Amino acid sequence: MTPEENERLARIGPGTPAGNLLRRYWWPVWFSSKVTDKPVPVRLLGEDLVLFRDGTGACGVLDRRCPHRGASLELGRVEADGLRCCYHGWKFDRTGRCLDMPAEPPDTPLKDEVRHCAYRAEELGGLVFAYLGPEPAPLLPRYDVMVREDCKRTVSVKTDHCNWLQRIENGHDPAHLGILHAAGYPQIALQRNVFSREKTWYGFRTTSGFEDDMAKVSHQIFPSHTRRVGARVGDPPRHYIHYRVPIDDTHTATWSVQVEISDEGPFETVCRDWVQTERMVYQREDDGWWGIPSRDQDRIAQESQGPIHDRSRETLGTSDSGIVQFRRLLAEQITAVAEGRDPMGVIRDPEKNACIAFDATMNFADGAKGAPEMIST
Amino acid sequence: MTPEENERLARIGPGTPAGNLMRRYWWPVWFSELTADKPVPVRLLGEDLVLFRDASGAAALLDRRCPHRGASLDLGRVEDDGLRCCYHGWKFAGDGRCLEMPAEPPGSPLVAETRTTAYPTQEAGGLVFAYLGPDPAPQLPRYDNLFRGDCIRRVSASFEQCNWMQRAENAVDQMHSIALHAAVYPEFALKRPEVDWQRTWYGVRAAFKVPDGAAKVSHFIFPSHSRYFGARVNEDASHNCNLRVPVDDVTTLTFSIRLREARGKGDELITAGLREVEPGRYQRVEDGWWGLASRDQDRACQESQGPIADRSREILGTSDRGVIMFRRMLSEAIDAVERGEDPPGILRGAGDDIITFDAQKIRDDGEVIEA
Repeated sequence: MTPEENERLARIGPGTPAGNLLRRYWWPVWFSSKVTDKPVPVRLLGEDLVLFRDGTGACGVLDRRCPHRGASLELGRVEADGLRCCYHGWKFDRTGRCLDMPAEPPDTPLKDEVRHCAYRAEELGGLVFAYLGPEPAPLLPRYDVMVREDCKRTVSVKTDHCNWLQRIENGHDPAHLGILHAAGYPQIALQRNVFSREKTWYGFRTTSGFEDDMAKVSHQIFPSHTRRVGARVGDPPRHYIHYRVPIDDTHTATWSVQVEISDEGPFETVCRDWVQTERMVYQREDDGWWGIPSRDQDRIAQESQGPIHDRSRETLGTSDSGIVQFRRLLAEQITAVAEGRDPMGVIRDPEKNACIAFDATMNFADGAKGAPEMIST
Repeated sequence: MTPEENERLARIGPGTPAGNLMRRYWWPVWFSELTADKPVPVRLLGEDLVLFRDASGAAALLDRRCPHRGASLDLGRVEDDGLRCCYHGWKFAGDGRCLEMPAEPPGSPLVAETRTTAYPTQEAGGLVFAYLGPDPAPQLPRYDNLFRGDCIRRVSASFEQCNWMQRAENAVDQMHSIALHAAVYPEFALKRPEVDWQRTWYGVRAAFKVPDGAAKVSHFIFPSHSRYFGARVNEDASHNCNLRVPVDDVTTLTFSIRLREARGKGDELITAGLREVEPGRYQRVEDGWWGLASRDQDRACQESQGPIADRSREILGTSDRGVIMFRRMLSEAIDAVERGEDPPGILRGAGDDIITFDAQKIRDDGEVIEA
């Protein structure tokens, strides 16, 4: 891969080729229950934004910079019909219309002329999602773990200090499982992982395992999510979706939704705090392997590749076929958007979107016995 | 405004257009009472300097970097006749002359040949002022807050992590009081005032008239200071002056000089010193507005405009006339300096009269107070 191709795939700011592609999808930005009467600063795809909930209960996402003289709307006040800037009191509703300019003459035409940059926001499964792309917006995908009610749902988020593509490639790379995570899965440590991938409408369905035990099924939802079952030693089996969200070119948020099937409900979604991390900083532990705690293994390995990994200096083998396949798909989808087509996985049919189910299984950890299947609709 | 014009107005390092303009004025750098026999590192207009008071009692300001091998003179020792570098003991007088090089052979011609950069200083109102521009230096204007007697004078300072222009614009933007300071002035919260901005020899005189109220008069002293009147109920009225000092392109230091009448009891100077603030952290309160403590409102808001506000992306209205007036003055003043002329507010041979300002304010209980 040339350095130019690498940049084309990795950078996601406004106006970049990959940025235009990723703007065709919905992205989680915050916990629903934590959007109250205070504006929340969020950053997505290199854009500084502010999230708030107006008096109707609906969420709005605006450019964080007031269009007047650039004060941050994060310092503003949430009112029944919008968000008011602290500096000169300009007020905007969640569609970006300006409702008030108290220092200007009452009949000023400026109020109707000013339109602030506003993005769509919707809520699902305890998260607020934003859409930064062109209209008409596609549907917010209703993945099974986000819409099912017969489960305990826990939502958490963590920042990785590296480009999104490193995090996504990790999801297309079953080969690292028995190596990087050897301490968590001792029975497969250093064993060669065998996998096969099937291309689907949403991305890939991957079957992987070791020798004759090929029971692990996971899904890579284009462009950046993973749907899997986890059953590490000591944990009950759980279904997951991981949304890897590009904050900017060198920071990625991973929103993880963890689900335990249970008929003891109803349950409230549990929201954890945002886990704050520093680039390449982690608590060392003595596990006979890499000394990296389980929860930081992926983060540290991918941060160590650099803020934006230089793919022009790689040496790839056959076990990297999933990564190669993904990069090819990403390049194709960037081209599709540049040519005016919808990229893969974009949903516009409400019937298809009632509940998008996945078969996901796990095989080799002690908790895997009896890992419940998610039921298809 | 184009990004290039924005850069031209905002950046004040050595050799920049606005830096050349700003070097024509005197700037406070530290408190007189806190300038003694320990060197104080100061930074002004992007230059790292060191301030000390020698045995003669004069405040001296030198380039912080020792001309020998670059050690910082703020590690040095103040001696009777100058400041000695900690590394090889070179000693400099307050005018920049080198007095001694103990490691060099006696009689070394290098001592006489070496001069470090020294800038003129003078003291007024409890502050040390410095002049970094070309000779001849103008007068330090005899503003009332700096020079008048029979008053209790309180001097303090605090840093803001943003470009000086954001702070200066705020001083000529009376309109923001109705929003940013709504919790402090609930009587005119979000009510549109009439503001009349008039250019004067020193800057801008602004009369701010709220609906059904008398006018409040305040002054903007070019290039970045404000002069206004405070009148809270049950407190003596105060004369306030905020001197906003460009430390570098992204840091501003505001010196506040607050005067209260001493009523014949003689002068008093209270040096409150530097208020410690944590960059990007503001005291939060529940006030039904922005939740910012009164004294942090301006700092939070202007820091939020960015280290250097991007003026190419603004939308200005008629209520921003004061800000536009200031930017025009600034641009014209840069042009004047480039033509070799003095910019606005520079005084030469102006005599000893104290410069007073008419100030008027509606006291918190509604009574009109005149200064």
